[in-house]
Amino acid sequence: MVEDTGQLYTIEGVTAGLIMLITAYFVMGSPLVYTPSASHISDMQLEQIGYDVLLVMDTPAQYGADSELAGYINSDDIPGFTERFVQLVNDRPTCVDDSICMKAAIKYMLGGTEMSYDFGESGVYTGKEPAIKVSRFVRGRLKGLGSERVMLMEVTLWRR
Amino acid sequence: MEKVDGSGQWIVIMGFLVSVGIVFLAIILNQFVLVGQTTSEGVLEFSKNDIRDIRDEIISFAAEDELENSIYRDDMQALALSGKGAIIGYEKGSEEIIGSFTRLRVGIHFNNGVTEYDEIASIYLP
Repeated sequence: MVEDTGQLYTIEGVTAGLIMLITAYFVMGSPLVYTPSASHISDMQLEQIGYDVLLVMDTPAQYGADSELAGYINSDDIPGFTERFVQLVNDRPTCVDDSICMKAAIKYMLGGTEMSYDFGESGVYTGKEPAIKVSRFVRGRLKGLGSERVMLMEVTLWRR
Repeated sequence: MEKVDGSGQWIVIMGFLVSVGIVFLAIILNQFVLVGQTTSEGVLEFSKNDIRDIRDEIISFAAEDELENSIYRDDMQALALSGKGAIIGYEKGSEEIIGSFTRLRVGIHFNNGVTEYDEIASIYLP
């Protein structure tokens, strides 16, 4: 009679080898390194919030009227803009407010040269927080420019 | 010599097979993280917000008949290049009267090296 119990021991040996190999494979592959590319997920959220807030502020209440954003630029109301932007970007009605900080600047062209006009900031940037920049075209009369011009509102955002 | 009873080994092997199945499911779950990352990278790369922004601005030019204002055009092109890293352009197309509205066609172009976007927008003016 052929004795076949040896087959079980062979399978057991193969199985044990597989377990060891798989374990070694997972141990080598498991350390999770938080690379700069993984920060894209939170960057995307911050970028979307920033663009949305600028869109909300640049949407006029009535057809043909000036938007809220253009109003702040026309009246050179930097504290008003900063307060409103920080409120919109951080306000969460049902839980603790977010802690997003901002620094805004308006870029405009003057005689073929690009100029920049600081338009308020909240919070201090230490240079360590991952920051992203959002921008939106806006038309307004910037102080000292006279006529209505196309300008680019640029806001840098980061979390405290 | 006493015979070794190996019948319990089947239970061990079946247990191992089940564990392999669980590991396989865990690998599938693990892929979700990667899906989230590649999706968010794709969303970031496609400059949806920039395109919407220049579109909004150009449509407001059309509504106020400022499409041929060369100061607006030059400023906007220079600022788009420096601020958004994109080459943009727009041109006024045909006008057609439909009922009580005028339909104006406007060509809108955007290219930031990754995304190229061209559109002929129809704008209805009262």
